[in-house]
Amino acid sequence: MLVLSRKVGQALLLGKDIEITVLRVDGDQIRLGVRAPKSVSILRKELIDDVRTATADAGVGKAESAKPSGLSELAAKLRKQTSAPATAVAPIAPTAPNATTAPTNSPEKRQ
Amino acid sequence: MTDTAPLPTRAVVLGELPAQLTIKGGLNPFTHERYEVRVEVDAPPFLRLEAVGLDLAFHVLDPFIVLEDYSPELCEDDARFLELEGPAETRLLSIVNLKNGTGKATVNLAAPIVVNTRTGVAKQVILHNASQFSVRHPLTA
Repeated sequence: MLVLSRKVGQALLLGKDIEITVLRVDGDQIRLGVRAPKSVSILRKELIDDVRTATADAGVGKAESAKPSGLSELAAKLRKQTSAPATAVAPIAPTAPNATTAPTNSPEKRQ
Repeated sequence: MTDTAPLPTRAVVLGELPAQLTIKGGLNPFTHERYEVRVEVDAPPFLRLEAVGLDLAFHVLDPFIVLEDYSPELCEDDARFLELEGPAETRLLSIVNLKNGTGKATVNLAAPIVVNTRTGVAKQVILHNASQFSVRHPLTA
């Protein structure tokens, strides 16, 4: 890790295209400005950790996932709230594009 | 040239998902990549991803069902990695968190699993505009 010190108003240049400026220091909080091309994703690092934790929480054993109590009720609530299809549609293999699937009551059309 | 790849703007018929997926890189922290897609027959529109050869499963949902005006932006690198040629072959699946029971169910809208339905290859992706969405979006009001 490269460690540098900056004063307020000073900046760092990463590669040719990314510039990070220290805008303000307020107690233990630092305000940073980032100038970068739109193709560069800028994320708060804790987001990655947050996603990992959420996924770790979500993964369960198959037995537990087979019949989670309350899922049908949750599904019914969700369908009522939104325009979710009321009938399950079976996934099909990529080699059988014309396989029959259960029709949905209100198929969403893509724009 | 756009910096972010086009994604479907509305929920799509779930029938076009392949029956098996290869989720490249796995689902952090789980490194397993091959999953079968199963329908929750008693609880549509929930789907289940079941790991092949491992006792691991996830419930997933089409995020457009949860948020009708969901506007995910994909980084071009991710679109290129998945060889996505357009919205017609792109599907999103968001991981549902039932750890605290179905009454407190949440769904990850910031990092969906992006599926190329043509190749069966998928990847969990942190959206380019991830900060606009919640990792723990509540499923019921």
